[in-house]
Amino acid sequence: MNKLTVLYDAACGFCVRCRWWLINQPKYVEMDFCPSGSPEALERFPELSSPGTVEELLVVDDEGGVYRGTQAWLMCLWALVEYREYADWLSQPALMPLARGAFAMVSSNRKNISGWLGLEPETQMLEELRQAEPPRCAGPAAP
Amino acid sequence: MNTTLLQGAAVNATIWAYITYMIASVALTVWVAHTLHKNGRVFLVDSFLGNEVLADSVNHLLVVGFYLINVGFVSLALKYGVKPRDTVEGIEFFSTKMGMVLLVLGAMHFMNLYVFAKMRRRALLKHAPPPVKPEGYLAAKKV
Repeated sequence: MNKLTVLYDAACGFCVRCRWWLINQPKYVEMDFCPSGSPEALERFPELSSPGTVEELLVVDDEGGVYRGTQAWLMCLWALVEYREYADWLSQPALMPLARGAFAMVSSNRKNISGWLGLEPETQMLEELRQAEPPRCAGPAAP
Repeated sequence: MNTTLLQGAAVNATIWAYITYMIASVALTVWVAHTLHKNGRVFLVDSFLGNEVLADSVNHLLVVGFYLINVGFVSLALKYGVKPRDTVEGIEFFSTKMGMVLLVLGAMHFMNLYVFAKMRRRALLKHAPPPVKPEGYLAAKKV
């Protein structure tokens, strides 16, 4: 397995931040990111996407294997050099309920978490910048 | 005359104590180094994924380092402490010094084992399979 494609919720600031963090981590396996429900996702993975519905986290490997939710999160950890041990540890039968619980808690509260941490998705930031009034010039410099 | 005899006997005891200590310490160092060299090889070959030439090279280098540190410590530790003047003090000197040397050898031994285990674990991690199985597969293989 050489590559994982991660479909994430681009409307969630926390998810976008996580994506940036993942991009910067040293990896064993190449990772490619695609916003869930976007035109790109519809084109690449028609059977996984429908316009309007956004899955919290989906990972597709280069053999066509699909992982959802907690499994997708564990696959992301497994791809990272410094977190592969955690992926192996959390995926043990005894600890899977803990992994599921942790993922469910973070995922269902991701909008709140984004709010608390002040994280915005890039699309929202772009929209705000477009609508904002540009600062006015103070006038020509005094002689 | 009496004093000279006593002094002579003291020097004798000191010399014998020193000689016994050096011989026993060096012999023990050689034995522990041999054990690590022989039994640590399996760990190293596994860590280097069957590359026996590399494993042998690293093994030899580790043994050299081991000898340097231990024989160095043993030699330095000879002088410190009470100079034995008679047989009783000689035995006490020997047992104290040997105790110290054995504890240091033991610590080095466990440190070596820890280093071997860590190298092996890191090497195995790189080739670890994914922690979870996919939920399903895409109909057509798409990357």
